[in-house]
Amino acid sequence: MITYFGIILVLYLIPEVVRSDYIVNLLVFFLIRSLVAVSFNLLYGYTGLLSIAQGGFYGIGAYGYTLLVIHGGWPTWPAWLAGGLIAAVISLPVSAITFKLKGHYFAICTLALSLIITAILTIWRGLTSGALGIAGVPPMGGISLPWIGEVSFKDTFSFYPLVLTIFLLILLVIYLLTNSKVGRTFQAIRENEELSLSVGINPNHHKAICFFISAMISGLAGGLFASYIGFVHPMTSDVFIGLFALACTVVGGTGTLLGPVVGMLLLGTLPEILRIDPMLRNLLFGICLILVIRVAPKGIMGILSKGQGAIQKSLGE
Amino acid sequence: MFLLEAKGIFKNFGGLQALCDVDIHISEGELVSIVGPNGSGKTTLFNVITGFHKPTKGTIKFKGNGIEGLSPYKIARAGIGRTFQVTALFDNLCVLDNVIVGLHRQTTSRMIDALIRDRHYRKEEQECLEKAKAMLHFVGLENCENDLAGPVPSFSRKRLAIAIALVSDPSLLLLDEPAAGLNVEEIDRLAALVKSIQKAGVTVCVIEHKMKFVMSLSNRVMVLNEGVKIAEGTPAEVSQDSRVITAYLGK
Amino acid sequence: MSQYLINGLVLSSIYIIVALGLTLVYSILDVPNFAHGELVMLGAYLGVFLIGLMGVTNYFLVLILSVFALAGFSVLLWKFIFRPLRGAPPVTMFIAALGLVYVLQSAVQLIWGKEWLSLPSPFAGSVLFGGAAITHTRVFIFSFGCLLMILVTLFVYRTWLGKGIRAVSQSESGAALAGINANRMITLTFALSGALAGCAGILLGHVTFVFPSMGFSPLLKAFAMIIIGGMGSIPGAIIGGFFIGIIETLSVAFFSAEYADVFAFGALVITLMIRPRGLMGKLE
Repeated sequence: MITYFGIILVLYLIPEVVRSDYIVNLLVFFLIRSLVAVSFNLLYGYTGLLSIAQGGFYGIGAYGYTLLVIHGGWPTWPAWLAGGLIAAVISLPVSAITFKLKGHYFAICTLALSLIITAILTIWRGLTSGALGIAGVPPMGGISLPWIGEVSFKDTFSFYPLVLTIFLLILLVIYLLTNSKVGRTFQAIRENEELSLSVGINPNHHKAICFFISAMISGLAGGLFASYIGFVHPMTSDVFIGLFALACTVVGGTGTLLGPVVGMLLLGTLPEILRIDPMLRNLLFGICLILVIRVAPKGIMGILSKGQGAIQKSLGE
Repeated sequence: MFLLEAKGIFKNFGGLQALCDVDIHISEGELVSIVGPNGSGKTTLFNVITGFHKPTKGTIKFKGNGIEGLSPYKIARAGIGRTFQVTALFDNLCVLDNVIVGLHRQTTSRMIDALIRDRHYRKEEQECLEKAKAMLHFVGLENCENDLAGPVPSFSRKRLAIAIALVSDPSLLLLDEPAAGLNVEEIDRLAALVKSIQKAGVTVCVIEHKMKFVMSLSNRVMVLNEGVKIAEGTPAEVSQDSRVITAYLGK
Repeated sequence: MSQYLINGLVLSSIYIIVALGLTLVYSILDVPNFAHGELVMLGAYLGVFLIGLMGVTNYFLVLILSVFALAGFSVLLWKFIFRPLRGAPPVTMFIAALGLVYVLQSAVQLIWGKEWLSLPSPFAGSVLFGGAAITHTRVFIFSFGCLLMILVTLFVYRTWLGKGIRAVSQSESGAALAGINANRMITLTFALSGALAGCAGILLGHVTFVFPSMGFSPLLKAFAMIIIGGMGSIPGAIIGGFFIGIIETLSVAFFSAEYADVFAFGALVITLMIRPRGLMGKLE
């Protein structure tokens, strides 16, 4: 327990130690994109649903926040939550459409739906200003904390603790859910849907809930993104956001809590910190992906747990 | 009133007629066996009863209520448990978790309860844990609680599948070829297990090829051939029935 | 209006060639090759290299070289990347293909840069047809595309090798009993798929620009085509192809280019909702 508190404390203190705008900025993006990967992992790692629609929900969350604040005059926090909720609600018809599809048909359908979302965001100019995007998206509103007073989130250094807090809270929720009856039921559905039916589980009900939560997380991540960079564009819902989250999760280790985070750190953030040339970065990313899937299909967390198991075994003997 | 009563069951798959005007009734406390050559429609009958297939025609009543056409999970919740011809387990979960999942229909805590880990949820999880452990003890698997279900040997797999189906106290348990692939000693142990299940008050219906298993256990036997019921009666009656002998010899 | 129709028809015929390559691999592996679009892109860049940089003037030499190069490259991908993953859950092949997408696109970008290049065709001039001017290039593309469709259909249904492919795609064990080497058939299928991609790449390069991510959009359209027509079916890819082509052309004509995506992928989703196996696909 103490180690966890220690690690969390360290995470909060990083901006103080590393007084670099660039690094903290990277960390903010890392946290936001990790949320998308975590949302994908909930769907795929636990419930076995290979969805490529996360980009679409991310974009819906971003636009939801933007439009509610700018056109609707909403205050930022409710708008952010509502953006996530809109994405979650839109996941319901997606669920209804896709749940009877198996395997790659399901994946292709979610891919198509993500592309349709991007196309609609481009076409619905009246609502979204189309391909021009919307600039001047306000950052999250300030809050008054006891003892500290007024805290604003207008710049990287002040935004970071907010994102970190939200990230940790969501991670906690995921942990509580997946390590409970809910997570067990999700995994049962993934393992054997027929058997689940025969013990009274309604798979579609649980899949829909899983999708709802996953879409909400992606949507909230999108809202954070919009409030941070101040600009949204149809490509905010680009399908490659979902694909990248998928790749990072698989590399990090599906079905584990930290797998997607580790994967995102290694494949998304580390190359940027090392300042690897962008084109080379993609090349290495692809090579990494192919290597990992060949050599270690259970991802990095799989290697770590095997190593842990081997160490425990040798200690026990 | 019969516990389970199915009348006039027809099932067509495209052009293939798998079941033709089949009636089956099971009284509480009985152990009924369904036998017949391969492809005679036995598993299809189970699938129709448990909702995995919709009958083309016919009615099915369980405890007096019509269940034909309902989704499998609703029928499971009404109190019918089953195993599958190809043993179905949650391979990547541990043995104990497999059985705990089987208790799903008895749990009432909601997702919110799970999230905040309230008293209702924690009490229920504890009860599930205890019931699951007791069930594993009942089927003789208490030593492999934490093993992953996938690599477990075949007789243990069968017992685990039975445990999953049995743990939620179904009124009717359907076993689809539980003795398939077992050796002589394992079949005897299985027979003893099935007997103790019946003694515990569960009505059992078994599909089986192995006539010895069927004869020693069943109160009643029903014979299917090419989707049609050709005989029904006590094990002794049925084994003397000429139609049955022809059907088996002919295959 | 007729200009739209003609352009749509020409573009669709190219996409159908892409779809044929995609559906061939799917029929025999039961997994769609997500990196197929990149093979098309490589075909286009090879054309740019041969015509633009090497100054090769014999167009058919360029086509033949592209066919062989992409067929060979496709076989290499099968041998070294996809075949080792055959036993694993299908998602691993998808991830490997995704990795390939990144690798190939960035490799090409490193060599040629991000600029949009052009791939000139040897056909100059145009002809008048029904009040619209059609370039000879477009006539060639459409005819060559149709020729390829006919050749592939004949190959798969009339030749001994084609029957071998179909046998393995229906039942690998059954085909083995008949003495057909599944691995050889799969290799052949990949070669054929690569060859088609190579042709499609060069043809595509004549009507659009050549850039590293040019393969992704045709891949998505090809997916829509083979879902509607039925994955794994050759005639399905052709029929689905023309269907999507018509939808796209009408969308562009009546609305605008962006609507083409909505209607094409909308058709894909609707197909999956009401008849997932498409018009002519096999029942799963």
